[in-house]
Amino acid sequence: MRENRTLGKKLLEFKVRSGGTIAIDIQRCIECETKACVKVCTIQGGPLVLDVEQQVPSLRWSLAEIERGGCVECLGCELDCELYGKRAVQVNLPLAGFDEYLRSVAELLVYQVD
Amino acid sequence: MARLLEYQGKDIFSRFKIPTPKGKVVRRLEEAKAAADDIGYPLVVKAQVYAGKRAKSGGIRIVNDDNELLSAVPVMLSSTVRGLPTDTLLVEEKVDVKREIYVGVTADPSSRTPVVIVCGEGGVDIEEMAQQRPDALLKFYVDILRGMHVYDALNLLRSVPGISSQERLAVARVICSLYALYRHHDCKLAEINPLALATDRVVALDSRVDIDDDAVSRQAGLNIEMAEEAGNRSATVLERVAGSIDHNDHRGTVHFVQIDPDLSYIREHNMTPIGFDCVGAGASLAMMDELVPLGFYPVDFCDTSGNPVGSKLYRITRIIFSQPGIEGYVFLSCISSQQLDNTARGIIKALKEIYVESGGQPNIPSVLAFRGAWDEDAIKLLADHGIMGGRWVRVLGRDATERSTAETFAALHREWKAAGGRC
Repeated sequence: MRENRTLGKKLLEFKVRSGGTIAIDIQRCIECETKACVKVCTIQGGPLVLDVEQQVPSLRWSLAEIERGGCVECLGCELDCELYGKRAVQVNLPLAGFDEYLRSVAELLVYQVD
Repeated sequence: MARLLEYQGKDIFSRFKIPTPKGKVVRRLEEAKAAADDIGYPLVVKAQVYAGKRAKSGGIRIVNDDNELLSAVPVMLSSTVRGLPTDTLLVEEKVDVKREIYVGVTADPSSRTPVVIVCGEGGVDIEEMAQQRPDALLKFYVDILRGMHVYDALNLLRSVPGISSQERLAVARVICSLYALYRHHDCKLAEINPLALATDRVVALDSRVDIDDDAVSRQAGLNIEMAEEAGNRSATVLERVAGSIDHNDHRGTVHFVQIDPDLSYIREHNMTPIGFDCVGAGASLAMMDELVPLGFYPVDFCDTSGNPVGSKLYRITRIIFSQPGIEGYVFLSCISSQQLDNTARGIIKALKEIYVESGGQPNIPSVLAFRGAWDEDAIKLLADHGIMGGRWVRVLGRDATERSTAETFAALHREWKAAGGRC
């Protein structure tokens, strides 16, 4: 069922199936003309998770439905928002044990880790 | 597959009423001494590592008294068996063996059924025996709807000469229990090598239990932390991290194994280590076949298949690039229905987080070949995000072959080296 969880909030945040969160800074979305995150959030030509309500992104499904796999975690919302929107989307995808591993090999890495 | 250590397999054997020697798992000398006091001499001390032929490699020792135990245990706990460090030992009673028999249950691909295999001559070098004297191996193909019954096992054992009717019945019951274990725990292989005929009983002296990695989620009680097969060694830290990617999410798969975790093989053969990811295991092997003759050795095998979500590609790309010492990265997709724009998004997000200052452009030679569904979208995404324009990046399309991809990488690596590439 459709739920508008956006209105009156500064941050729209929801969990995804693989273990992680997607957070959208609604304050930035108010000034966004493209709503690129919503445009990219499609499957087979139809809308998937995100919708626009009163000028800002909202969720088409319940939080439980999205966490169960409604969001296909394509990462398009974050990447397209970065290019065409207001850099309002942050997808956080933790990896258990990875930070500890990085610290253990930090001296050996080819690349620099921020 | 997820392979259990001997003592873990024997623990399951006990639950299925397969007799095993009295034994205890120890990790310190004091524990070994306490086990010896409890069990009594003579004892067998066995290194718990994922390696076969342990007896030939010093991983199994017989001790007859305290002095021999006190000298053997510290040595075994500080040494390696076939290159594998030993931190756990199994201390067991020594069984007086009259005769050894091999018993195993595995999946037969041609008949698509479980097959029970028995060898009355024991199981020393059983793989070689299967090749050289296949008649020595007795087989019974099991209809899983009908099951394995004691009379099936007795019929099979009629061809094994020199065992008494009591022993035959005891072995038949073990075979049925092993088959039940194989089915209950979704095994790929359940093996007793050897099953010993002792003076007054039959007893499983060793165990091998391999669980189907696709069924690990159904075997929560076994506490298997790593489903991915990593050969005859335990999983590395990075493999355990990668193994967690599929835990909560079955939308596509990520298979990651470190082929040469410490780069020892690569250094010994004077080759160049690179990070590696392919869509499809067949494409991975074909790509390796082209890279290795050019002097590039993938430090990891990685296959991202089954149309994985973008977040899986993000996570595995972070992992691949975190391997110390790599002098490049190759990604190649087989021509499949995998949605490559999602694949590209995962890679792009990972690169942008790793190479923050350059906006996602790697500082090591990187070749990405997108071939298949949504490949043009994938390439456009890399261009739009500015990664394709990187000095050390080449993006190829569906006209690329494994060979042209390898040659493109080799040329880019030469250029990178000439420019004073790091490492």
